[in-house]
Amino acid sequence: MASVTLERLTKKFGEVRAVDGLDIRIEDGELLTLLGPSGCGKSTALACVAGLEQPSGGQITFDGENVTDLEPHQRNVAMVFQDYALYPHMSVQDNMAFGLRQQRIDRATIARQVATAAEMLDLGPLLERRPAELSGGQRQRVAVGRAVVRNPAVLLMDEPLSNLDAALRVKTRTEIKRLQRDLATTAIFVTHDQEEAMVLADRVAVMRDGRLQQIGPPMEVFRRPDNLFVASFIGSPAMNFLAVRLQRDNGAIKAELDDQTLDLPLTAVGEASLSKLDDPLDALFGIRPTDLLVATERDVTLVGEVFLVEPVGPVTYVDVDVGGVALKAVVDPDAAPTIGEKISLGCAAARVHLFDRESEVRL
Amino acid sequence: MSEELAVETERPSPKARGAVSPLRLPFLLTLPTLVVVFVIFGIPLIYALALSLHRINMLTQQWMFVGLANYTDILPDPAFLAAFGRTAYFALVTVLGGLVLGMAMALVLNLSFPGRNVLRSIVLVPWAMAPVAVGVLWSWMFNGEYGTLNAILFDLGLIEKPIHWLGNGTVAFNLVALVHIWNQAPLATLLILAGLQSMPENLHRAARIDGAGAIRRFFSITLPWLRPMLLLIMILTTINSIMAFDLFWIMTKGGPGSATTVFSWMGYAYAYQFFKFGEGAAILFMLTIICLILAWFYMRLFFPTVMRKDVVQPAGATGLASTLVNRVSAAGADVRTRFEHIVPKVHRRFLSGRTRRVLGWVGIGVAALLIFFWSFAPFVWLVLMSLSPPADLVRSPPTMVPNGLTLENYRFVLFPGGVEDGQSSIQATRVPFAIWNSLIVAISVTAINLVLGALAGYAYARHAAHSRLMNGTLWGLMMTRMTPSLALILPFFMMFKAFGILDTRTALVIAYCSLILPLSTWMMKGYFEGLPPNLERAALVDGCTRLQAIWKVIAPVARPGIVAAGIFCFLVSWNEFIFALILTGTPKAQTIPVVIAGFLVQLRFYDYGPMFAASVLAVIPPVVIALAFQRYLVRGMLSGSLKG
Repeated sequence: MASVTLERLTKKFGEVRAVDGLDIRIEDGELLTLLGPSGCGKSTALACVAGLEQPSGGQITFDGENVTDLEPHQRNVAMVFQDYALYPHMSVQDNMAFGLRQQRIDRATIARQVATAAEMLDLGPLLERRPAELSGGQRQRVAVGRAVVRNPAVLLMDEPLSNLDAALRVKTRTEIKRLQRDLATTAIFVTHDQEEAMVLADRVAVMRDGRLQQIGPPMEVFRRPDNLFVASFIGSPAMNFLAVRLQRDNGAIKAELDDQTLDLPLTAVGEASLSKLDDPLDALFGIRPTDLLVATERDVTLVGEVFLVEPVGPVTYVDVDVGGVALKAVVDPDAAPTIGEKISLGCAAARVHLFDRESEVRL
Repeated sequence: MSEELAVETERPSPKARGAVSPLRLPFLLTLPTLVVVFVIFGIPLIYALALSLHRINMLTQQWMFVGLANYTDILPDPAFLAAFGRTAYFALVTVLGGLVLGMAMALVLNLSFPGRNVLRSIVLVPWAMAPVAVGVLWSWMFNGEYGTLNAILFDLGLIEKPIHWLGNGTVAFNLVALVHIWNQAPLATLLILAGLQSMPENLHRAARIDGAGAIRRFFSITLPWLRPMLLLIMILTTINSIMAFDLFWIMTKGGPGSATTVFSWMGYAYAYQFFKFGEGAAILFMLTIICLILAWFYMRLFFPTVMRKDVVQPAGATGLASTLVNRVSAAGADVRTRFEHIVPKVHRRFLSGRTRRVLGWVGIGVAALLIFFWSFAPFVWLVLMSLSPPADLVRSPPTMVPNGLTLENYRFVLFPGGVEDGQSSIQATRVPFAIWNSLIVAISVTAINLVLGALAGYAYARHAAHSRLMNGTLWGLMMTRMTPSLALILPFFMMFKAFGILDTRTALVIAYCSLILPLSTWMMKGYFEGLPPNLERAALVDGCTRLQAIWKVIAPVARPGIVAAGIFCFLVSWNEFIFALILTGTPKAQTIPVVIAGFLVQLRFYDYGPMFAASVLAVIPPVVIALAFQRYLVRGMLSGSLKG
């Protein structure tokens, strides 16, 4: 168990900066998820923490000790890989015992550790099998078992759920969260799935093009995305956006669309941003589908024509053509409109996100 | 702004505590191989290149620098041009023949039918046999007096007097080409089979749904998929054909007249028969130039344009805002009217499905039988001849009908001391020790190659793409495959003489390692590339050092590839002939191919039996190995070259 600090961590491949000046501190026992689209550098950052990649710059410390130049086997880290990377020539038991044997732990202790891990992950009947004889879900559990059996200082997970089918993925992520709570191991979990990242994390760190975009507790990142990228990446279905022109008008903000003007309260933007709105400013108006309610009176009202209806079970999403822009809104399945119907959409001003079009930063 | 910050935080290159820097390790891993190949191979190579630029008077030992005169003098020589033509013809016929035959056999062996696995093993038999034994076998088949072919024709009453097959230049030349194809086609089969097995099944399913028949699918799906493999086969077999020597040595010695004098024979004759080393070396280096030109030509032929992956840029900092606003598509429902209505055409098949299936089975059966006889019958015939009484072999007129079988020939060669009344020759007494020599040499070469080649192959598999140094040395290694080993024998001879290890098994082991290491490194590199890199990363995280990760995780997982490479090393060093012939002078270090060839030099009729017995003994270890490990060979061949 250890706290982990990344200071201005940078990794270059040739001229490409895969990780660019990453500053993150992970508390002892915390589970941090690194979230971002493929190619954003999250896996490279994880490999640097594991010692599998040598950083081009910056520093990594475990509990204040600089480990930047240590080989992986000197760091006491364990890792779960996306493709599991189970040793195909070893049984499940040997796979889990391998790391302990490398540390020359005595046999009795190894046997106890493996037995505990097997019990925890329900691997008892599979101990003698080879990885080729296991199902995908079983392999995944062995990979987790191999990582936790060593009781590492830091547990690293690189998209460990992405090769599972949807139902198993939801079930396993619950198990991983519970396991990490029980063991109180410091953990870094890399994923491109924003829902997975939110469910698991104590804090989510969103990355893009090698740089940290935002870090914070899941609901904070969800409720107050710092910039356009975070807003568009987090949340499913994705946030709706409308191009608007903002200008302060006495006690309100006028948001000008192609064919209508919306009135927003001054609290819709941060205090520091108010001064920018003295002159007209090109901006994006963002609203999550779950905050955009069909046929409901709220602070802001939009009008459009339904062109698709998507029932997902608990709710139904409707796609509405609002002045040529497609917006997704939510409705009770029993009150779902039909295609072609003209409807109004309402949303609370507090749920509106406004971003500077130029800088992409939240206003 | 960020540029400046990053520069500030760049650490001055750190020294890892007690650990080898991960960047230096790959180079260290390749170092032993590079030393063996470039030093042991490189010095003779430079020496041979120097030879080719000089005229040497053998009596006075005087070297006279003549620049490129050796090259320019032979170019207009009609004998040279004729040899050039013959080499080109030989290469064309054997490469194409081997490719077509290899492809046909691979396609049949890729189908599923009972006995397929046995046939897959048997098809490798001609390739596993030493070219010397192959030469002995087929020269006897075409022997002008007692040969098998004459015997068959006599028995059938088709001829009155024996035909001297190898006495006719054109016939002899084409027969050598045929034997070369017989010997080499299995390699193509093996590689193509490996390629076929890696082909995604859904490719063919998709094509069938699109209405493509078997022939269409072969040309539109299978061939393009095999393209990288075919390129590899073309390059390998072209080098083998252009450098072919053993068969000519055994079967025709360049004759009759100069009818079978190809380049390699011409260079050999100049250097080692006429002692014109300079001219000989020049001729042999012409072969290298030809190989390089052909390799370049093949690359252009198979990959006319360098494929470029267009990287789709993720929405950059400026583009994000505009991509987020979803415009409602204008197309809507009228998209349907934009498609033409196409009436599906169904081709009526001439034969019913049932008839086609039955015909298919008959076809597979016939093809399997043909492959079986083509691959196995000559080998069986060799065994039969080794079991015939020597007198039976030289009957006149020749006939196939045996007068009974005997183990006498084996007694001659295996227990030469125990034969009292027999007419055992000196040559026969050398067989047991020659087999012992071959075994020691082949096993040593295999062991050294596996250790050094595996380390180097691993380093290249993981790092060749990132490092210019690694990539450069890899290409350097592969280029040594293009040099004619014939030209290096003399420098090797002189080098070993200087070190006093001439006529020892050690000398052969050293020479073979430098010759084979590039290929075994390449093979294992290919296999390592197919292993997920996360495997050794998992081992590193689990507490292994980088070397431990290779030894404890990568090596066991890569076993099929390592076994396949080991088989190659064993076969090549067991079967090698010309180096062993020149680098060994006495039975002390002579290997079995040399002893078999020795039978031919001073052949008496009662020696035919022991010669065939020795040939059988010489081909049994490689054949048994090829049969037993066929599965590993196919799997081990699935190299990175496939992924292009």
